[in-house]
Amino acid sequence: MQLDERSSLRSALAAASCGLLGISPALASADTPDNFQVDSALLYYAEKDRVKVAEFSGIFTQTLGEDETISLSPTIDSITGASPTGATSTDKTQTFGTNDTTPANTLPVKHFIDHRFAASVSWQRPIDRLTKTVLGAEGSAEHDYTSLGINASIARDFDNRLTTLGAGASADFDTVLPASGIVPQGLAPLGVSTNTVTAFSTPAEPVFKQVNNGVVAHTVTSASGTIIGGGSTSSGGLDSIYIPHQSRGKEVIDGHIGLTRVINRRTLMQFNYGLGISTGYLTDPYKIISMIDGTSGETVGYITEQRPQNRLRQTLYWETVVHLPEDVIHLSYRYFWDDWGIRSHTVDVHYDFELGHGFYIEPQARYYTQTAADFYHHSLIDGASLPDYASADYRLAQMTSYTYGVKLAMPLGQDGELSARASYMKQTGISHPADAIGVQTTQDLYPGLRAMIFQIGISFKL
Amino acid sequence: MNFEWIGTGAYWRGSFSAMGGPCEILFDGIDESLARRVCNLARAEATRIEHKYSRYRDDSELTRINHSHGRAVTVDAETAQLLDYAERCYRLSQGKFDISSGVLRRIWRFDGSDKIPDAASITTTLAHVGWDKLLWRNPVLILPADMELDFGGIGKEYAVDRCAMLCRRECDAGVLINYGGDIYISGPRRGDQPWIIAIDDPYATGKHGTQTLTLHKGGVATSGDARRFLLRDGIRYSHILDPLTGWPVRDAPRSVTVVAQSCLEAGMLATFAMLQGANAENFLREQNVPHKCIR
Amino acid sequence: MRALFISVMIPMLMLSGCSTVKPWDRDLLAQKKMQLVPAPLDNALDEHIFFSKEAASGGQGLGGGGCGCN
Repeated sequence: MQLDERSSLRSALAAASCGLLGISPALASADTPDNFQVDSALLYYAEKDRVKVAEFSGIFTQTLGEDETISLSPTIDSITGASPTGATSTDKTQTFGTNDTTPANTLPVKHFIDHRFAASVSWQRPIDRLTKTVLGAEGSAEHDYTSLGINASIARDFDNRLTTLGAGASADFDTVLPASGIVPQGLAPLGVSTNTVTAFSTPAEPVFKQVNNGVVAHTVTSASGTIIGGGSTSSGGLDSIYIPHQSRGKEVIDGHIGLTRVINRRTLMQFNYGLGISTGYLTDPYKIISMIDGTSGETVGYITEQRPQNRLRQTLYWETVVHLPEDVIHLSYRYFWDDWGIRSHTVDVHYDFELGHGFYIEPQARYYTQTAADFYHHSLIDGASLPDYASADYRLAQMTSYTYGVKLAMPLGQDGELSARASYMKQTGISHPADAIGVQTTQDLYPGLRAMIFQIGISFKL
Repeated sequence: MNFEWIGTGAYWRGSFSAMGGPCEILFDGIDESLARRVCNLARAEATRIEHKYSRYRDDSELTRINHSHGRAVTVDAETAQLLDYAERCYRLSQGKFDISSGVLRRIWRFDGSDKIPDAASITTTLAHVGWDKLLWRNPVLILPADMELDFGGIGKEYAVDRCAMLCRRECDAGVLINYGGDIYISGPRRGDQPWIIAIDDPYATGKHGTQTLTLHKGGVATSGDARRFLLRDGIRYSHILDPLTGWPVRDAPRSVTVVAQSCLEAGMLATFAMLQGANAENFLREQNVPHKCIR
Repeated sequence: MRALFISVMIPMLMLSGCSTVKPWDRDLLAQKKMQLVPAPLDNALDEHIFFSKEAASGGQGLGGGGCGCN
């Protein structure tokens, strides 16, 4: 036998065997499946009268070897609509900037359009039979925010693979680049005039108009209407001062340890502890707080918000999966607490009704409740001494959220699935707090949020 | 057919006799009634192949061919494909694999004794051995009188792969087919767990082999037989005969196990390796297939 | 602190020998729908929404931020 024919003999034999069996050699796969998994989804999120998001996301996974995979996950978002500014509604018209008006008894919102691109890559590989590691990186960009991060985790099986111990850490480096080009000073007042409430840009700093990478000094108006500072009229100045687009950085480090255990033939449980530290610019540069007259409750002005430069977050998370005779139930609970004074509970349940042949219907319900951050104020009293930190962001207030949804899925081919989901999310808070003054008692100081979420997904193997 | 649940391994096992030995099919991940049904279908297919290519049955296709006394025989598509395959293997092995070498069994009896045939009988028998002596033009075969074909070298592996294709068509679960040591695994067990196969050690027949093989999908075949050999003057002659010399292959391993994409491929590689004699390990290493030789 | 006590108890209970499943008897557990996160994409999309609209985040062991929404 010609030994130097080597693997050409082998492939000849393989081809001959396939020919005899009447199968194409391409279909006869080797022991290690070399497959490419595609998971993708289109999502539409719509809040009533507020933010709307259209999103495409996918996870593409390539098997590299026994237990080794690499996956890439891109996400594209298109975000439009209006977001609350933090100012509360009042019984008069409110005007922000030159022509942004909010009618009386209406929540002030800011309209915007943004696009977000994000991608993450993850490489999973086994170190030995019982241990595997994951290394990953991610990045995202919107026109006023960029993020870059890395993560790593390791998991080891014990006790005949009935127990798994895992640990992981991640580090993210984010940059906030406010659209206006400037990072506003925190707790700084915006100008006011009488009758209607009008806000101008911070009088202590000139109004900047952005030109390419720099900004051009513009007209400056103080609270009393006096023109101060350089520049010409509002039509564009010849005295150009170029100042780079201001930005601030933010670092987020997270770590977790987890224990997964097979309880019995039908039950699996996981328990995680997580710790996270955020430092840097944690404030929202667009959010403001209404300043209220201490007697009448009328809005007399606004200041920018200011959050601490540090945040320590911790979570305890428990999840269980139980296989009932036909169906499967997923139940989880998370307790969150941080050094901003926020404590929250989250309970989430998914019930998978198996309809047979790969079809299933899965109702989902989620309950979430949080306490307010220490520095959350729905509004501040004008004239009282300012706290070190304050924010009127509705997401830091005492709030409860209910989400109900249902998912329908059908099989696609051998390994694929087609699915559709619809959910309804409702957030409520304290609309009439006890400390509301005068006019404020007639206003809803926490209008809450209602959103519908629709998603269609497809997954398959190539 | 015997059908039972094996609790210690958590699979269904159907066992029956076919292809001249014990056969079993293991099912993981499907319910009993489906496993039973598929097992019956596989058993029917194995029996069909056995009967069609059996040397011992008067009504088999092989007997019809072997009793054609030199006249032209027209064969069906399946037999034609098997003959094509046998021819391809004959050429790839440069004559060492030859399905017309079965007649040599008349003079070589591997019963553990020291009876070696004399040179004269070897020579006369060799006259009736050789693929180049017959004429095969699809679908017509002309086999000279006194020549015989024997599908023993490919029949069992072929049956394993055919039954595997049948199982794959009928159910999604991972199925392990084991016909007397020729194995094909169509897919992993539930949870993507591999099947675990023990390789029998010919030095200690009957006891469990010390080597285990884990496999998600593929074919496993073993060439060699600890019980069939001749021993004379301290030389052990394995039962693998070289059709070019008429003698058993010298210094062949006692057992060769190969893992490949199909049982046919694994079996042929194992046979080719045995035919290499002392060079079996080198051959398999060069073919880059997972293998185990026991000497 | 009560939360700490409960948190210590749960893992202890989980580690104790109350598991009666044999290592090879993981037929049900092996199914995709029995994974802790059977639909990773759904999970990621949901977590992003909740992260943007709530003060809390994390829990499942995934790290990172990467969004200007909170």
